[in-house]
Amino acid sequence: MKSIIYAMATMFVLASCNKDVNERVVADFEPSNIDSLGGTWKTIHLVSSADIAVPVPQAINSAAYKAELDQIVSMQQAMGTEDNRIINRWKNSGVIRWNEVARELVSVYNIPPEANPDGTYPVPSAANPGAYPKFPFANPPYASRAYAYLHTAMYDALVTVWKYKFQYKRMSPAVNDSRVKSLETIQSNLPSYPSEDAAVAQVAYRMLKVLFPNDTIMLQQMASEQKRAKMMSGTASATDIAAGEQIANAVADKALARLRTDGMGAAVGNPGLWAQMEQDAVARGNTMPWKSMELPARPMMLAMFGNVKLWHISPSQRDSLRPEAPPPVGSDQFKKELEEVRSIRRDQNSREWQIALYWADGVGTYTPPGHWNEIAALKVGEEKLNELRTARVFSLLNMGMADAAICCWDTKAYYFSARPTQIDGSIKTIGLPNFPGYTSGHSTFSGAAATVLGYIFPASKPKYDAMAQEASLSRIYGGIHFRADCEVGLRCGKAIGGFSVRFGEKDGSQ
Amino acid sequence: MRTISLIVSMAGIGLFMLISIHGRAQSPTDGFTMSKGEICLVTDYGQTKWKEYWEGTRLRENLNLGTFNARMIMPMAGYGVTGKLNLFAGLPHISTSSTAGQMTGMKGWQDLSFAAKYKLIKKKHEQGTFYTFLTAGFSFPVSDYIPDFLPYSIGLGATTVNGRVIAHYEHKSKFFTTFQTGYTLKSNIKTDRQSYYNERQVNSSEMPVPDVWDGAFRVGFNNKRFRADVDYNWSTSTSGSDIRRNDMPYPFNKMDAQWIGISGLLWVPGVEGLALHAAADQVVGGRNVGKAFTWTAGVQYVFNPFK
Repeated sequence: MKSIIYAMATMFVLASCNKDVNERVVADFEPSNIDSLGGTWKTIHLVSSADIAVPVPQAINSAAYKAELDQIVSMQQAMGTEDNRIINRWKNSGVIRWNEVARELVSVYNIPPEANPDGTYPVPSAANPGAYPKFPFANPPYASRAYAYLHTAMYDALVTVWKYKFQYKRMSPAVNDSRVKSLETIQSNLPSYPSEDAAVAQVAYRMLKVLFPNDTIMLQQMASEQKRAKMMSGTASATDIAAGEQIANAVADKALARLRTDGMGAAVGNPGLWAQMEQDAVARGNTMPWKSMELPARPMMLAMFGNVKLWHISPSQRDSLRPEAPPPVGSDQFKKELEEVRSIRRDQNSREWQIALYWADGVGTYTPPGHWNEIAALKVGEEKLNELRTARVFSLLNMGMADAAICCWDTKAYYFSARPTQIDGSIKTIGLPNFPGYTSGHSTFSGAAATVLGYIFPASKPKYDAMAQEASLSRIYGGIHFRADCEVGLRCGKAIGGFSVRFGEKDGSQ
Repeated sequence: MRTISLIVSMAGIGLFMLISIHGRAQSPTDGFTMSKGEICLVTDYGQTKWKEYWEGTRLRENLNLGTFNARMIMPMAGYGVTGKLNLFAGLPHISTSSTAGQMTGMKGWQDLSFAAKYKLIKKKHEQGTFYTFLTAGFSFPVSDYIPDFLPYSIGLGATTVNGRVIAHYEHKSKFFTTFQTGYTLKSNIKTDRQSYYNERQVNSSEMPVPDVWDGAFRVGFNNKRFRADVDYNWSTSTSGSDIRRNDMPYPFNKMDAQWIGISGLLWVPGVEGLALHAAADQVVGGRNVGKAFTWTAGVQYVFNPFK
């Protein structure tokens, strides 16, 4: 009897693993390079970093600056354990930390609205963001746009921060005053005025609260915490912070002005436009236009998103990037590709299934652009890039993916082509997206992302290309795309990413 | 005593997302025992169906799922090591589908489970007999089925360990009542996807599965020719999150259910040790599970090769 109780107790102990999981994290790192000429790099929203005038800081022997140092000394004297936690939380790249926040927000809001009882679908309203369905529906096009605005604004702010850092060369409080302890490792030769952390925090707050208005309070708290962490750690003084905020606000004003007029407000479309879109595709020779397979039928996701303002591509370039028509329904090529989708084994033993789910990034996730952002974040950590160069990676990557989304949605709307399940109802899937198939969004995103990352990290280019290839094929494996959707999407994505690369090649960072 | 019935899943299989395969009269959880040397072989077939499910606490339909179906074949075996100690093993085969929507159904062998039941106390008195039992068991997946494709996944993929206490009273009138409750620990699982939202963004292919506290209260009649009983059951996840509105379910959802059931067993006259049994139950309350109706039917054969 005792032995049974003992055996039971032992088994409970063995199995009583907690519910924690091992997560991928960007390893702690100190940047290896300082990029003292970063202030000259080409900006995106600003004409140049000189657009924003930042006042000369007080001299380090001035009474005003002495008062700022006194403030930090007394903050450090009053510090508690929570303050140490805050310093620790923000000691690594703020750009990456905010990228993670954006990815999490996308996961929160990436759920399609439930149908109304009358069979129509509600649309989230930016004017009333808290009502169901909450604003925004952060689907892949929305997410790609959000990541792009966040990171282009951060990049412009940091280019400007770098200009004034090396123009004024005022170092950190810990360097300027031996009474101030340095509570985190900092790049000792990187000037502190204006604070890059304050600029990053303020840009993130300003941009994300517009993109995800329900979370304004959380975002504000995080931004304040990051700024406070940098003062407590001896990295930045009050005027270092204020100068960073000033730059951030000026850049955010510009970026938000673009955001409000980029055509996103019209991206949902209306029944008349949707019908017209289908008629136009039929007039172009599509004999089996796309139909929503959902019940009740749901309008195409962001049907007019292809008209949203592009980052590095003009509307006429977009039109010339639009690929040839997909294989006509009923053609030999079409039949061959349909047979391929039918023949894929979608069960637990198949490698195809694992690949399909690995790259699915569907409802409730950070989306394919989010997946590529995480890949980039891990690489930045390996390469130990400084905050400015980190911002450049995310800016180029996300402009490439946002352009990919816009061009891809333009193609989807233009050809309005059916997916395999519409042709053959017996094909079952990993979950069917509600928009036309040609070309594959995953393929286009991934082609663009691999092209941009392969340009920035050339040694890893073959790896990124292989990942993009796999992400592209995963959609055939998932039963939701024909091979032409994927191969042409990948090809277009690479071409679209090339525009972002060409901007990077000439941005002065080389 | 030959009145055992190894119906349905062993402890540890329990209830999983939107498919309620629950134990009715499941042997590791009932109040009956096999005698020394007895072997009991069972095969059951069952179906579970639901059209409505609880998304969090909200009961809803989903036109893109229609009616969900699961079919189960459940071979099981029991062995009386002694009159006090019985061992059990079981392995269900499950296939899933739905009448609408675009997602693929799944099928395969699920989790192999073992359990040992020990008779702790037997107290006879004028009106009847009172028993208590302790049960310990474990289970693990036998195939590489996909746990993270709910509601179509055939199981949650976790390795589990459980402990259970059972109190059983048999009145001399042949009426009986049983109360049992147990706790099941569940391991984390590996998913094919590399990240997921679990109240926050988690960048990992590792996913926790909630532990489960469950139990049942049963009243019935049992004699040498047949047995019939009614039962109330509950299963509660001790952690886990709700399905977000219009989102997909996943293995770390807090899956709770309460259900009522009936079951019967009939010893086939003239064939020593052969019995037919059937059971049905209806989920009456829940959270992140289907409002399922389940029935099972099967045969069992008890014999003693050592006599």
